[in-house]
Amino acid sequence: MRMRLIVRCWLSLLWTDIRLRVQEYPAVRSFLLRRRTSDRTPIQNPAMLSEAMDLASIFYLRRLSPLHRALCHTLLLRDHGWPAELVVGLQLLPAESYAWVEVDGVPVHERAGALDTFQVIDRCCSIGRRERSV
Amino acid sequence: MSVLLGSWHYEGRPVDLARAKELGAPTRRYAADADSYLVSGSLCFGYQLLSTHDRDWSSREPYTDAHGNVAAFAGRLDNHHELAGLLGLRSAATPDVRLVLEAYRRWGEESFTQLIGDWSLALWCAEHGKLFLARDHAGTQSLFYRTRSGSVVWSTYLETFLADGASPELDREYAARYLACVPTKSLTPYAGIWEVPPGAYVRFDHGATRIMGHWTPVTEDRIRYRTDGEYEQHFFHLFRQAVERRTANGATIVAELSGGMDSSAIVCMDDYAKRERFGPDAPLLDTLSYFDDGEPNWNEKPFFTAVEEARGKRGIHIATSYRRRDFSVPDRAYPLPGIDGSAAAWERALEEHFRSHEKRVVISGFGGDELLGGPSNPVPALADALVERRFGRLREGLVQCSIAERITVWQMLYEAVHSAYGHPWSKGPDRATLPPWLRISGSIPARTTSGWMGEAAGKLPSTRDSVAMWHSVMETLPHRLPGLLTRREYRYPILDRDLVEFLLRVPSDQLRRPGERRSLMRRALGSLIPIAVMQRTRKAFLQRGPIRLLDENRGVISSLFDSSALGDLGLIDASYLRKMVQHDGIVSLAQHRKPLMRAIHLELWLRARLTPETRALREPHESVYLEQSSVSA
Repeated sequence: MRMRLIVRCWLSLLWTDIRLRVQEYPAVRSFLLRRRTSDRTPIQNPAMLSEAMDLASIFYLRRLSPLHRALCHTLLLRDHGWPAELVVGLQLLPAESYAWVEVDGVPVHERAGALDTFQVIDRCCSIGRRERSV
Repeated sequence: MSVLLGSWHYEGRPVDLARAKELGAPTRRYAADADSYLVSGSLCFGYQLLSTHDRDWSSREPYTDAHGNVAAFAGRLDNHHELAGLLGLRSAATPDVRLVLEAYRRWGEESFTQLIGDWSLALWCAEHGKLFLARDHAGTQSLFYRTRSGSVVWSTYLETFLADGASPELDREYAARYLACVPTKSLTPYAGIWEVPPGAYVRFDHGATRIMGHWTPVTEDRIRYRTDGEYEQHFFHLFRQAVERRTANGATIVAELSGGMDSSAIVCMDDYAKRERFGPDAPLLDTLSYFDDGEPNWNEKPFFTAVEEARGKRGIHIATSYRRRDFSVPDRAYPLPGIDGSAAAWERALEEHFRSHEKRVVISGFGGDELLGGPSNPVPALADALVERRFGRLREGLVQCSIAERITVWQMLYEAVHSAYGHPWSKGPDRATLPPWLRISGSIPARTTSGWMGEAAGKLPSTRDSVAMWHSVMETLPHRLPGLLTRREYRYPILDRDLVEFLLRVPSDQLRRPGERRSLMRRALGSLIPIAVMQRTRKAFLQRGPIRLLDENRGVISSLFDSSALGDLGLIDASYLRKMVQHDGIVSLAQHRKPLMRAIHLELWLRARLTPETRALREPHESVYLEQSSVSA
């Protein structure tokens, strides 16, 4: 089960990588907005999925950008029934951008305090079974 | 900090007392409790006392023994009990300087290794006609020297060398290193004037000068205990000892309290020790905290106030801002670059606080990030596993560290191989990161293998990393960046020699663990430090202020480099720099922030030094410290 999840994460990383290479962010964003949260019963513990993502990402072909990781993670969570949102943040000085995943407003698998200096500039909401975000 | 100074004409020219006092005049204001000189033939020893602990023996320095040996000792000898026992003397009745001379007579040059504490010394060996200048393991007290025209001159402060109207040439290697933000080592901005390296002594044998180490951070011994608890107990004992050594009676002390783990741990440990020893009403340390409400990444107030509430004592709070700087040329010359014209006003304001509270010593938590397991660098430990062929540990470490750092195992493995078998610590500047306006090619040797770095070559990667880390700590100690008007004595409990030797020997997984920085410190001192500080997830750091300062002062900076002294010296392309400052975006400014600030500071320093009317080092100085109390000659 665990290995299957890791392989699935790895393939998903490859797929999102290709998408990010051929499409600009607005196109990826509209794709994400259209992508609904699955109606199936969510997996008990999304941390399992995060761990699988970690392992898949360290064996990926190259270092993941925050957007790449967050996009893939968001899609996988939605596929497993969690209303995940992709959030993009910006830090002004020094200029730096970052992307992460939130479920019900809570960052998923991020170190505490790591997001303190970022201001949210975009939020790709989940539309689906559990709720509709603004 | 007391001041050592003196000269030795090794070609035999005699020194007179008037000349000796001339030598001491520029530094008299920094150590005004007493001064005394010893002149004998071609040798002159001077000592200016600023009493900062209860073993200062002012009337006995410089000290001469029955064999004609002479020594002057500034600082604090923490192992005076043990040393006096070994030498058959009574510690309470023997001044530190005498212990130093007796130790030298017993063990010769090996004696410097025996001295534990914060110190610097000058020692004349009459029997062999040799002079020694030495500093403690961490270089907590400065000591400079110059050899020229058959003589050696030494002093705690650079002002001594600039007092006789001389204007030494700029040392190009120092300037290049300073501009490129690489370690300046024992260089000073002045050609021919050097600093005695930390953990080393300089031996002058007539015309021959030799630098020898008496302490080294290079070690491959490891402390191994069976349980975490044993490491924690040992750490607790050494940390307490380090704090108590520096907060003992004898001087009014203020502790910097930033609200970070290190400064909070020092203050809380001192409270704990004092309350245990003197009861609940024991007088507690005064604290000094800086804050800047305009800096969102440097919001320290909640944390230092949490410590204050826990200990029941409010400290001195000083509002500061990086943006107070104005890039103006200071109205007087000063010995080292790093400040601008706004520094004098800031120092005067700060001095008021110090004077009103009668403070002489600052306790600093410096060195904690590097020694106690702050930001992690897992690569050396992985490289160790590779070199030692422990492939199971390597595999496990690669996965754990790659996850923690969010990079691929392939990249992590490449870093480990590079660290193990490459040349990972060339101290030359990384050309790719240098700003395009720097013109320093050829000024900095590509690799340095002398001193500790040379000693560590061929050792395990983690040992080399520890040595490089120790070097970086030595380069950035706050007492090395003196201001325009004042000099302060800093004490660094985390750099205590016994504690440092312990921390360099414990396994790295005791210091930091995945997801837990400063693991050993947290486990050992968790009960002393307020929860708000313990749960603090990241250290505050200045980010916005410096960049906004540069952005808002583009015009001032550009005009500063209109007729650039650095440009005239061929160290920078001033027109390129001006164009960059005028036209580049804020991202580019942020990218080159550090070298740009360095260029500005060096330019200001050169201008203050080169403008005749501002050479105030030779002019009467405003009194910024205690009134002169006594003079003995």
